[in-house]
Parts: sequence; structure tokens; C-alpha cells
Amino acid sequence: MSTRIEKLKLVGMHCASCAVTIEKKLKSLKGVVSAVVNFASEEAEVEYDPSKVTLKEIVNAIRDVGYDVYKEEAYLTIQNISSVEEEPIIENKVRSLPGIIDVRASHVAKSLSVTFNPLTTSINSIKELVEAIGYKVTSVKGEIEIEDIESKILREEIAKLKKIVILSLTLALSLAIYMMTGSLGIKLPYWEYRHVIGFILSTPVILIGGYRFFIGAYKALKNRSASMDTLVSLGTGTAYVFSIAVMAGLIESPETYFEAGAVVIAFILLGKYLELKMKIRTGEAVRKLMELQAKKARVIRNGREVEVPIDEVKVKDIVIVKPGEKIPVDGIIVEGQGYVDESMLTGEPIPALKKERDPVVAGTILKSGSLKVIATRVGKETVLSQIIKLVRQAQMGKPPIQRLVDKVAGYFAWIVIAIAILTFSYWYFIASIPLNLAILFTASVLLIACPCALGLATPTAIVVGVGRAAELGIIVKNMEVLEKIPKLTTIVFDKTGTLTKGEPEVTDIYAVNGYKELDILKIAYVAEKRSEHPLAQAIVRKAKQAINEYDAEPEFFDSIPGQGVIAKVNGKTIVIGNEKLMRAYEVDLTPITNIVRKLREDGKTVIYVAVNGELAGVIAIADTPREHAVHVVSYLKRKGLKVVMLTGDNRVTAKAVARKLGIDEVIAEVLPEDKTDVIKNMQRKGEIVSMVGDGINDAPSLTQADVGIAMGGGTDIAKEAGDIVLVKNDLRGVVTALEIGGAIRRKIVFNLFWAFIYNVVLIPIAAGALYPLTGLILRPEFAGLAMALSSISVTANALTLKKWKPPRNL
Amino acid sequence: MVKDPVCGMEVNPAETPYKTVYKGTVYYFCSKHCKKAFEENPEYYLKHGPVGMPHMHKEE
Repeated sequence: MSTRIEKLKLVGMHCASCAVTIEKKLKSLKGVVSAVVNFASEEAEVEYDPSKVTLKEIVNAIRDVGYDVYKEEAYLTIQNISSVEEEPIIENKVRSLPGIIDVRASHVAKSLSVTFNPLTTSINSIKELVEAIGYKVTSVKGEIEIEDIESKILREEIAKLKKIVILSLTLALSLAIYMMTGSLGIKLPYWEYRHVIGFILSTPVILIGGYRFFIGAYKALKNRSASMDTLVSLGTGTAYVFSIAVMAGLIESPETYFEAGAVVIAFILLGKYLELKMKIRTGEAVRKLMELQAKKARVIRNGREVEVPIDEVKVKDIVIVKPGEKIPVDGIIVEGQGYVDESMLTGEPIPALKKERDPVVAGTILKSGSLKVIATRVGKETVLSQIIKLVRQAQMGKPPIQRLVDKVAGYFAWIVIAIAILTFSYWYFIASIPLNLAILFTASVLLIACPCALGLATPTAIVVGVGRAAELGIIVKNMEVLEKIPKLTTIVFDKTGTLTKGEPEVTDIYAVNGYKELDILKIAYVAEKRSEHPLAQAIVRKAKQAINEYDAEPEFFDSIPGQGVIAKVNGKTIVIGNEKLMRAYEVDLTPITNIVRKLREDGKTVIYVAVNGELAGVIAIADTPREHAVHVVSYLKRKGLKVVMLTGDNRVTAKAVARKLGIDEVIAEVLPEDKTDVIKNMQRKGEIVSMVGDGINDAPSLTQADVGIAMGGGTDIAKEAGDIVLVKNDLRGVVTALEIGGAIRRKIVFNLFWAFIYNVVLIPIAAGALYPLTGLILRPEFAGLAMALSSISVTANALTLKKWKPPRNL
Repeated sequence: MVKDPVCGMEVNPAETPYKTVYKGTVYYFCSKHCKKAFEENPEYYLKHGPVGMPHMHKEE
């Protein structure tokens, strides 16, 4: 057993017990020989057996217990990866390097994305390895950059292919027409030399047009695999070599098949050409996003306004934006105002008025007015760049079903070759038909089989679907959810900020035990002003309106998550929070029981204020439900999902809010840290759960859920948890996300189904299954045409996702 | 730094999210598990002092 030692930089450790947790978890993995975690240096050294456990599993284990590993990403553009069968070959080679956490190759995007441990390996070693197995790496990026390398490569390839297609089609079709007319018995010039004419006209097509297939087949052979190229090479090669033998008089045959080989290559190339043209369109969504990024910006340097390339803009630069221009950075307006069109990022069609101190994001367009913006995030940090990066990563993603397809595709070509050999053996040796017919059937089998359609079915649907989702403000980060969406049974919504606007307001104040309402506000203000909790901020806002010139610094302050705050002011202990906190201080709540009940039945959140263990009063806070919340809930219920509201709030309050929204099931009084357990319990009962919440605060429960949906509005999209992130702060996005996820999934299944059926039905026909009965011979030309059409139809079918529209009946 | 009343470890009260209030005093913990253990039986830990990490971070 050979083991490997990997050093990992850990993220998120905050106490020594974390080290023990991680060590224990690592040691519980099969294949891990030893694990040492150093709290001080935040490093882990793991010795493991790579044949039993992968680095990815180790990293996932660390993430499972709530920490993370520092990793880097590289994005390599590989020019000469052309088929789906090559993907696992490259992936496996790269994965065998130490320090590789994850690797995805895509023949559609012509790229390889690698997640690796920078302590062990480097981008360069990855590049060298990929080149060593015969691939040409044209560019290497530390991260996916705002640059459209892919489509440039695609465009170059299309231009090159176009010439070859024209040449091949002209030669092949003229030859085919000549041969067909001649065989109908019409007298043609030089008919007696038809074999030689066939040879002369078909050879350039085979050599020039077929070159890419032969090279591809050779490369596959070198890696001991067989691909689509192998099949095309064998199919056309058989027909061509047989024909030469006939022409040379080595074999007796009434016909040659020069035209068949040439026509097949011409058709397949034409198919490839059309497919590439469509492929360019599949990536349009990302391209549109990229075009939103301004290339230049006007900044103030040394008191003067200068225009600089966007890369040179730094954080804290003052950027000037004129009407009609794209805002080049994320920032805050320091001067001026104007209407900003954010439709490309949020789908919101009406430009919004932005004033001084309002935040703006890169990629939005200033419609009117003029702005000075201080840059807070530039380059790859901007929301726009993060979205582009996420979408592109997602487009590289593979849902589990594709892994199965990849496996099948790996054997596919071999199976077809076996069928071809059987076909030939049967017809020639057993059925004893003439050699030329046996060759014809064999070539047709090789040429009609289409691993391409199988390979294209999933990635094209994902690239188009994920791109369309991004246009609608929905970032699908994790492809595995596609498989879970159709199985969902339950959808859990966090209350505050998700079902409600998250802008709570103080509605009522009641004072008891001799205090006055204003006293309550004053006390609460001092105690709460250091808290970031939205309810605390609502109190602070209200207090600032009501009182002036009152300030004191608390001598002590602490907040208890899910309960409230404790402060000492002028020697008095002030406790503000819920019942649980009051109980811990043994505060008598009876004087106000009736009022509290009434407030809660109105859906208000009640906060108690106590001074030195005595109740001073209560503050009632209400948060208005979000627009569309009622419709979204009823839509999801119509779809047969169980809708649940999850909140830390009091049960009576939560029930009142739920009633307004039409939600039947409420899980209330849940501490933030226990939300994950609630989801886990549901899953234990066999429910497939989607959780909708805030991507930062609800991160653990979003991760726990089968489909975690993060409500957007956040600026650090990349850091947000969740499988799906809604960029637009609109609850309807939940429905849109689930529906488009379902649509992408259906498209993949549909595509795969037809690709399989196509092969299952047509291979036997090509092999001559119908010949004994009907005399039907599927000539290689038509086999090639059918194959080209199947790839085109899969791509075209995926493209229909571009027009997908969110449901209207919301 | 204060002591976690369950496991006895040093905890930074400004950083840990795991806190609870009992009889007017705030207690700080290194983990959710210590906090849960304390909440189930606070008197035991206050009387006996820290007992190490009996069921620390085990998988639920």
C-alpha cells in the first residue's frame, strides 16, 4: 500500500476543540492512515491511501464538520479536446496527481477546470501533465476571467471547418450524383473509369476532411480507448480500403464505395459545423453578462479626471459615470443622483433612482443623471464578476446522471465495434452474402452509431439552461439539485427576511411598573445600539425619531443568539429579549400577559424590556410580508409541496403571520443553531427538503437541505451558501428556480432518451436486420447523415431552453 | 477569556456564538454540544465544575 501525505490549510477554526473535531472526523474515514491538525498554524497533515479515499472526500469530510480547506482554482483552455470520451481520460489523469481536489473536463467548453491544493501542486504541473498526454493548452487562468476565450476558439474553428465542409461537400456530392445517375443505367462519359474517378474525387475528402477523425482515433487508441472518431475512421476506412482493393483488382466486386466514404465525411463535417454554430449560441447568456462589464472607467487621479483601463481601477478610487454609461465598479454614490437600469442583473425593468450613499453595482447602466462613485469592489470581486464566475462553473457541472452516461459512453464505441465485427462475420461467413454487401452493412453500423448525441445531451442542456436561469436572476450553483428538484416533498421558508421584507418596524410600546413609554425607548436604545440584529435596529431607528440628546455607553454588553441582549448601564442590568431570556433573569411577566397575547395574535413580535430583574414594558415589532409571498405559497401548494415556515419567533406570532400567507405548518421558537436539526429531522422522515433563506445567516441549514435556495440581495454571492442563489430580491424567484431546474432536468432526460432510442433502433437496421425480409440496405451515406442529424437535433432541442419563460400564473 | 463550564476549555466570550443565560449570569461555551449539555443540567456543572468533554462533537 502506498500512501500519500497531504498538507491542507484549514479555514474557519476558532478554538482548539475544532482541531480535535477535524482530526476525529478525518480518522473516521476509510483509507486515512493518520491525521494531525494543528490549531495554531491552522494546518492539517493527512496521510492517506489514495486507492481507498480521495482528496475530495477528505475535503468534504472537513466541510461536513463545519470547516473548510483553502483551495485554488485553475481554468485551462484545451484546444484539441473534441469528444465526450476524452473527458474521463483527462479527468482521471489529472486526478492522479497529488493535490487535486476536483477536476472537470468539458469538450463543449473545450476546457478543464481544476480545484487544487496550492500547498501540494501548482497550475504549472497540471498544465504539464495535460500536455504530456497529448493536449494543447492554449490558456491558463488562475480564475475564470472576464474574457471570452472560448467563443474565440469556437469561432476560429468554425471558420476553418467551413472551408473544409465546402470542399468536402462539393467533391463528395458531385461524385455521389455521378455514381447514382450512372448506376441508373444512364450513359455517362468516362463511366468505364468510374472507379478511378471515385478514387480521385474521394481521396482529398478522406485525407483532408477525414484528417481530424483519424487523428482523434489515433489519440484515443494511444489512451487505450475508443471514441466517435474511432467509429468514423473505421467506417470510412473500411469502405475506402475495400474500394481501393477492388480498383486494384485484388477483390472481385461489382461496385466500389468511394462515394460512400466521402459523403459520410462531408455530412458528418457539415453536422459538426452546424453543431458548433449552435454551440456558440448556447453560451450567449454568459457572453451577454460579460458585455455588461465596462472596459474603461473615468477616475479622479491627482485631482484630475482621467480615463483608465478597468484593471487599473482600485478600491477607494472615485469613479465618474455619465448618462448612458455602464457603471464600471461596485461602489457607493458620493455625489450626484440618477436613474440606474439594473435589469440585466435583477430582471427589474424599471430604472431605480439612486442617490448619495446608495450602493450601485458594476454592470448596471446609468440612464440619466450623473454620478461620482467610490469603488468598494473592483475586478473579480464585483457582484457581476462573481455571477459570471458562478454561472460558468455551473455550466461545467455534471449532474449525477451524466456520470452514468459518461461510463456508458466510454464503452459505447467498443460495443459498436463488436457489433460491427459480428455483423460482418454473420453476413460473410454464415449468411454467405457477397463481400461487398457485408462490407456495406459493417460500415453502416460503424457510421450510424452515435456516441456524440449521448455526449451532447446533458452539457448542451445545462449550458443553455443555466445561462437562461442566469438571465432570469437565478444562479444554479450545484447541478446535483437538478436531480432532486423533481423529488421535492417539502419546502421550508425562513420567516424573517424571506417571507417577510426583513424591515421590521416598532408598532407599539407598553410600559408597566411605573415606567413611561419614552423610558422604555431610552433604555432599549442604549442597550440595543450595539446590536446588529434587525429587531434591535428597528428599535434604534424608532428611538432616534422619538428621543433626542440621550446617550449613555453601556459598561457591559452581550447578545445571546435567539434570545436578546444584556447590558449594564449606570449600574443597572438591562435585559431585552424574549420570554426565555426573561425566565433566566426570573422576571415576572404576569402584569402584561393579556396585552402580549393580543399583540402576538396580530402577528407582531414582542420584545420584553426588564431593568434589574423587573419588567419595565414591551415593544411590539411587525414585519410586513413580502410582495407575492401569498401567491408563491399557494403556487407551491398547488404543486403538491408541503410548505413550512421556520422561525425563531414566538409560536403565536409565527402562526398569525403564517395564517396571513396561507401556510399551514409552522415550526417556531427555533434557535438559529437548531435550524439545521429541524431540516435533518425532516430528512430522516424521508422528506426531500428545499430550504429558502438568507445565504449567510441560514448557511448551515441551506447546506443541509437537499435544495438550498439563498434569497439574494446579498453582495457576496460567491460566499453565499445554497445550491441556488437568487440575485433578485424577489420571492417569485423561488418558483422560477424550481421550475427552470425541472425544465433543464426534463430536457436532459428527453435528450438522453432519444439519443439512446436512436442507437437502439438504428444500429440493428444498419446491421441489416431488415435485409432478409425487405431487402433494405441502409447505405453508409445515409447512416452518416442520420448520425449528423441526431447530434444537431440534440443541440437544437437544448437551445429551446433559451426561450423558457417563468410560469405566469403567480 | 473565560472557562467553558462544561469542558473547562478557554473560550473567548467576544467570539463564541454559543452562550446561554442562567439565573442572571451569561455562560460561554466552545461548542453547541457543551451548551446543550449545560442547558440540560446547569446545576450539575455549576456544582461539580468542568468535567472535560464527555460527548464532545459527536455525530448526531
